[in-house]
Amino acid sequence: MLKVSIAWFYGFKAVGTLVYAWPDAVAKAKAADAILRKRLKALGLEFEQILTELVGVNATHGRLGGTPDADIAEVTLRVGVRAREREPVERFTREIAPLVLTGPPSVTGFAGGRPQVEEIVAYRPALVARERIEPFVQVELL
Amino acid sequence: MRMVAVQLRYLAHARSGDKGDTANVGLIALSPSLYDLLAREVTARRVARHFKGMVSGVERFELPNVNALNFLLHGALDGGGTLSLKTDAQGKVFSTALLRMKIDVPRKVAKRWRTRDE
Repeated sequence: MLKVSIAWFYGFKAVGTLVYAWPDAVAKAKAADAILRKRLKALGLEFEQILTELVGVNATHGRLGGTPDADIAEVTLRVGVRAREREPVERFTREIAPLVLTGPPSVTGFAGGRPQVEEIVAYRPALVARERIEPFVQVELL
Repeated sequence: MRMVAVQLRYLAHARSGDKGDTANVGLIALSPSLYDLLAREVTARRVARHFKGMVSGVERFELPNVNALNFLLHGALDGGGTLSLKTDAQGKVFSTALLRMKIDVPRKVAKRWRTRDE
């Protein structure tokens, strides 16, 4: 067998983060997420996926991380979106600043400005039978 | 024989990474004497139960020559690689989530390897 690395243009994504401080950091982050999702819905934006993580609580171990300490010092709200089109993702990146201004208080970590829209090149590793490949090398001198 | 529930963190190392949407988790016994115990207790079925709702399927491979088990956790990375929106899109620390799992071990073994009470 031979290994094949298949890559193709897929779409767009962006990830926004905000840091919420004690007290009630987790409750504030969750409230901000709910507001953001409601807002995205009201704007009629369609995404393939919206993923919310609370870094410090569930980003690496999911539910296995357990219930966070009620007195946790801070938590990072991290929301990612993915779509085949650029437009909804672009619009999402403009919805983080309003959260800072009108959402739950004691929020920071937004000095870097608006999140960047990234192109997604999807990638899939696979195996292919060696005999199905005819090896050749072509060199072109420009 | 009296048995005690012990977290895998006291019995094994773990390392992980990605292949597409599959997290590849290696579980390495801290001592050759622990390998048989791990092979018996850390079955694909029990790992699947541990990660219920987080993975779509589990395959296990045995590597007794290096006192290790290798697990393929399918559907673990939210699409995987560049597609995934997860912080741990490449499953680099997925391994440590396996170390949270508890298995029953003989009391003598627990005493020898468990450095802290649960």
